[in-house]
Amino acid sequence: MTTRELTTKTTLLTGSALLVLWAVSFGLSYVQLGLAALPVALGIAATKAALVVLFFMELATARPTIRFAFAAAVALVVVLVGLTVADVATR
Amino acid sequence: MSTVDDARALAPAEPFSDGPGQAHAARLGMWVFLASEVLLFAALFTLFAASRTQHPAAFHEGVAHAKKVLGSINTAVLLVSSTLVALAVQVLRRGRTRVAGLLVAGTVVLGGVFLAIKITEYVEHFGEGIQPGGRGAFFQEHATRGLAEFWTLYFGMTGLHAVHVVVGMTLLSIALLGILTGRITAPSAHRLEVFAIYWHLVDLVWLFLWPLFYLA
Repeated sequence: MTTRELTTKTTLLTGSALLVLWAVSFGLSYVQLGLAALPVALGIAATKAALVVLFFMELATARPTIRFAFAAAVALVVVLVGLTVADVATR
Repeated sequence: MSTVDDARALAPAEPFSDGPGQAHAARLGMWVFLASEVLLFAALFTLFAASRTQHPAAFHEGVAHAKKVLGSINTAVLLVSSTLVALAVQVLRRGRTRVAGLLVAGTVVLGGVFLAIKITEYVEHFGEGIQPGGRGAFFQEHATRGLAEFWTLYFGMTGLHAVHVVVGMTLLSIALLGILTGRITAPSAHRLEVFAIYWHLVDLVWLFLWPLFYLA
């Protein structure tokens, strides 16, 4: 159960922040960032994802069981992607 | 709405003794399902990362060739659609079913816009001789090793995502029907909420596909 409800204002602010970050990411794609381009773009994507999860999917106010389901998914993704990339990148 | 309909909309289904308990179970069920969806996409992102590490030049060339403007418009379309459906859940909880219905309808329409743009991209790429599996005239003219992997992953991952968009649109259409017929109201807002959470996941996956295939 959602313990406390998020307001419409929070949702509108989140939506606005997402569009600002979208514009920043799109604008930066025209700047030559070299090797930093991908980490920067993925960093902005991760920030947007965090906003969606916390305020649109309401994880910020969700019960512990739901937070656990989410944390388990994130932990398994980190293991799967992290170890595979570490292996391939260090060959 | 009749008293009988009111009672059906409010009463918890078996085996739940109260509405909030049922709502939490529905929500938790969707989150666990989404966790499995995340792992499905994580496997593909892992494959992408491994291929990109092996063929950095080809992946750079692939990104430079992708339809950046169309892909970027699609990102904005999904972000706005997610905002609309998040608002729909909130106004439905406050009993404003008509506004909620309009917002859900808007979300479904934006899902359709996303698919139309995606199909446009696919048609343009097919026209250029780019097909999954490294087939097509494009790959005879562009011999960089790893380009076939890039475009196969592009079609595979964006295609699987597009399937999820279709599923999300279907679920939200069912919710819209429920709102219009009075089966989904403020006390049963979780029925819309679980589909909205699914839609947000579709948005989340695209948030990572966008930089990988179009930006960097």
